[in-house]
Amino acid sequence: MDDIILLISIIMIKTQITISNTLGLHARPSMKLAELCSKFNAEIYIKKDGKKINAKNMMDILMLASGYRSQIEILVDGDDEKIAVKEIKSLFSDRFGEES
Amino acid sequence: MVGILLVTHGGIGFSLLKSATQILGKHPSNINCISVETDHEVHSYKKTINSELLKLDSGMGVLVMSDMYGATPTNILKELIVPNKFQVLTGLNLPMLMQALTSRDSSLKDLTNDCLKYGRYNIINLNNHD
Repeated sequence: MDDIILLISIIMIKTQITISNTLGLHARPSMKLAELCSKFNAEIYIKKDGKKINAKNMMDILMLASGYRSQIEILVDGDDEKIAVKEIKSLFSDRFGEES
Repeated sequence: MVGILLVTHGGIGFSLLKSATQILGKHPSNINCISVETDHEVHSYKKTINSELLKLDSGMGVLVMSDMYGATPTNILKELIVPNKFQVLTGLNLPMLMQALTSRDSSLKDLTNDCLKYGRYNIINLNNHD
């Protein structure tokens, strides 16, 4: 069982993100992120403060209450994981289209 | 797709739907609101709600959400419950509605359970919350 967990942790892409939009992951960005993640076959999770949630569920994202400058970790595992990570990072760096 | 019907006092349902639409960025399909006003006959609401349930049911059933248990809207709905076809939740709030609108392909049973869960999870005393 430990071997399986180790194998999964090796295959899975992990990336750290700092929330850079001033209002944080509020309702609209959470919706946009869940919509984007739902496009991919890969399993996508977000970890913050010891909690791990399904990034395809808007309400789960919202309940992390991730404010400005908070740190989250994105975990992506699946056949389209590389493109998924690229697009997720782009959404965050674009600040969800909220700020120029 | 599971249909959604909001049966509430006054314009609560319409207001929540308007806010949910802003968050979603588009108007959701297969959803409607009925405002229950105190000066109307209860019998006429039964007909209106029944007719709307039939319209919204595309085969996967309808999740009905109402605001306050024990009040007229929920008392009317009690008589219209059909297991596996029309489910009724009370204590409607925006998180409950958002969960419903973002999981439309779930079964009626799963959607009902998830909406109940997220509706409850979002009732938090911020003073005692990390």
